[in-house]
Amino acid sequence: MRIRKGTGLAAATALGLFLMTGARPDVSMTSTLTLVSPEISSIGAIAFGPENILFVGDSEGAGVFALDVADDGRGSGDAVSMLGVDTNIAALLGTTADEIVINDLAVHPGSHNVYLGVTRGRGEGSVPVLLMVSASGDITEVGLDGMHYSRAEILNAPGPDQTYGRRGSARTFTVTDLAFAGGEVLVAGLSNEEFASNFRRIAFPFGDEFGATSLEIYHVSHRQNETHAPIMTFLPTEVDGAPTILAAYTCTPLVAFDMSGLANGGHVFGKTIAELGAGNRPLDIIRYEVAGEQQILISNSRHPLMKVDPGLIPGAARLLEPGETGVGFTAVQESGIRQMDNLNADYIVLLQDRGEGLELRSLRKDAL
Amino acid sequence: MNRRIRLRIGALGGGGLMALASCADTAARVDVDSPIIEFVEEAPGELVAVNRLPQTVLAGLRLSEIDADSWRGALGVFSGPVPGPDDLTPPMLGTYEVEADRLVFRGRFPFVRGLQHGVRLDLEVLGRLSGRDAGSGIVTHEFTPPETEPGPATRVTAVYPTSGRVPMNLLKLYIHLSAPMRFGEAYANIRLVDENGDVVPDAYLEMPQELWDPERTRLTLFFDPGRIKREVDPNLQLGLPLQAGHSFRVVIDPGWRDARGQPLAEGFEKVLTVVEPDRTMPRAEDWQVEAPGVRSVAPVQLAFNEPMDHALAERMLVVLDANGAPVLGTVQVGGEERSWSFTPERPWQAGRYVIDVHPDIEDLAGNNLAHLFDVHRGEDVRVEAEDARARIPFVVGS
Repeated sequence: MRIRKGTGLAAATALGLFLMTGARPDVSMTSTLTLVSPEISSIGAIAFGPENILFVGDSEGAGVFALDVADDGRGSGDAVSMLGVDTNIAALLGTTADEIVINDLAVHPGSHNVYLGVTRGRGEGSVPVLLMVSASGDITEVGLDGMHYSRAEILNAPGPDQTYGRRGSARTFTVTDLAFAGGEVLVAGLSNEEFASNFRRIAFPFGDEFGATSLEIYHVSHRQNETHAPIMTFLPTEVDGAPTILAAYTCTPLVAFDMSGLANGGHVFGKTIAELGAGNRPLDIIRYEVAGEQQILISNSRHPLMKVDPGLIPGAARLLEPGETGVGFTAVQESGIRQMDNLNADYIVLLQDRGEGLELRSLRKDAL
Repeated sequence: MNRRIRLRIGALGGGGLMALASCADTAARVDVDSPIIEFVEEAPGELVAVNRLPQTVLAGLRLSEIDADSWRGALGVFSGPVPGPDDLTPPMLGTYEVEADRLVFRGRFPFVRGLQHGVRLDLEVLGRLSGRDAGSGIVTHEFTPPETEPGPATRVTAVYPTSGRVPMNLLKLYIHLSAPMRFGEAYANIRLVDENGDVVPDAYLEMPQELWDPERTRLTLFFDPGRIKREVDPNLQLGLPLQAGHSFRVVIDPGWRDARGQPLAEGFEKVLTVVEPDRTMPRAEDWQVEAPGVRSVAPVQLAFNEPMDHALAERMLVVLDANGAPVLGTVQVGGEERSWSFTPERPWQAGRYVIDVHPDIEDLAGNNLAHLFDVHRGEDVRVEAEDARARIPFVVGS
């Protein structure tokens, strides 16, 4: 176990983050993490934000944590590769591979270390564990004792469940994905009771105890307004200079939402730009750059990896009729990819199952 | 030599591990004074103890600053057999301490019951860490923490909706169990079967996270919303999973394991008799309220005109007094989720009350007070949530 300290922040990184988030560069986001030693019930979706801050979706605890992982290392940028990553993690955590669930993966933008949100155990006494894999193949536990953090609630403000207490405890909000964009943590998920209200936005730094506001996003598909399907994975990006969310739904459409309309009452309309096919679940979506060109990658439960040219999105037709498939994609013949992220300028890193256990694998961007 | 045991990419682990491999052959040559390794369960927890180490070595270890990786190179505890010389399986995380006359390892996590563990003690490395002569050779030990006594087998206690008749666009099922369940096995153990005994494929929304309550005793199972919503791709390609005029069975396998790893006491089946789809929003005006008597603790009763979602019916209705303050009491959802009652903690006072209904309450098809679950072209009857909030008045006393 290794707990690393220090809050070094390179000027270049600060500038990059300022451009990315609109935050004031003279204010340290990390300094707003004033609580110490987070108690996290579950580690689901994870994503890096500004500085050293890792956002963690805690479905069981119905919260989002902002953790100062104090990772000020400067990674080698080497490709990461590890066969049997689940077996190795199991050995380290004193159990067997079938008792290890790797929920998500995120790469620290400075150190290029790969962070894994893991659950040890599927039964009694299961616990969340945050792990870090370096380019040299070391796996270390990122200890939470003494770590600085802040937290926001993701369930709604007090309602009937608070009044009658007991039954309210059965309600959870399962986080399917989260991301930091435009000074906000965006959280997609699904309640285990009501089907509505599945996209939340939380201003960061976290403020009030009940930080999340529900965002109604409608995708217009087949001449209907559709708002209730859960988003499995999404990507904050820019389309023609406008902040845009590209969301992949469980029932397979890929939808672009123009977020610049957010000021007008919290309703956002998106357009369905592609159908990824029935019987398939989108698992992860990332954007990367190669030779100055932006590309978008979508991994799927049944279909191969899909590469989408974001340049096609602004002019994409809104899908109106059943059977239209919309923006085209290039199939990359890789399957079993559960999670992915940008490792560095040259590589993306994958958590992949090619039939022989889970592996961490790096793919060159220029070879995709 | 750097003795840090780490996971490394590639086949060879470097000089340190090769040296260990060459020592492994000496494991059999252990003299009568060699250390004894044992698994000990004692307050406040379990540990692996190395006894009979020389006092000089223990003293040396106490004085040395030793990092975790070096410790693990000297004394590795494994959640499996002791790995062979070419096996780079890392030892478990944990802490090391010299306590009285023994060296102690405590796992970062509890030892897994019923799983064979291995221990490898490298005396040469231990000697180097202590700055003293600890002898040479590898001492190994294996142990299996005893299984805990299995409790009573877990059962399915209820599946909601309890009504056998369900609309074709039924949105979800709640499966209640008598004890917490194991994560990750739900979808493999629950099938929708048609009248011919064939499994209906892709019937459910399979979320990798599974939708449990915090205790993991209630699973929410959504039918695939893409198949229920008309004219979206999965609906067009696969149709609705349930068909009106037919019956289906929800089959729960007895092999579904609970959190202790034990299978269910028995399987469970629920028959769904499927009727026409429900494409109307519930309206609180259609519900019948029956007021209780003054100074009684009898419940106020509400009859729905259709079955409602069980979990939401329990949670979405609040009784308010004339001042708008919530009345404390107990909620009960009636048979087939067709009624709701509220029993106050204290006797009713005469006066006006209101049952405040949150618009997110749903019928079995996911239609709530604000909108339909599946809005077809030209049918958008959405209303703003605040306008959809219903207030059902009733009067206690004259």
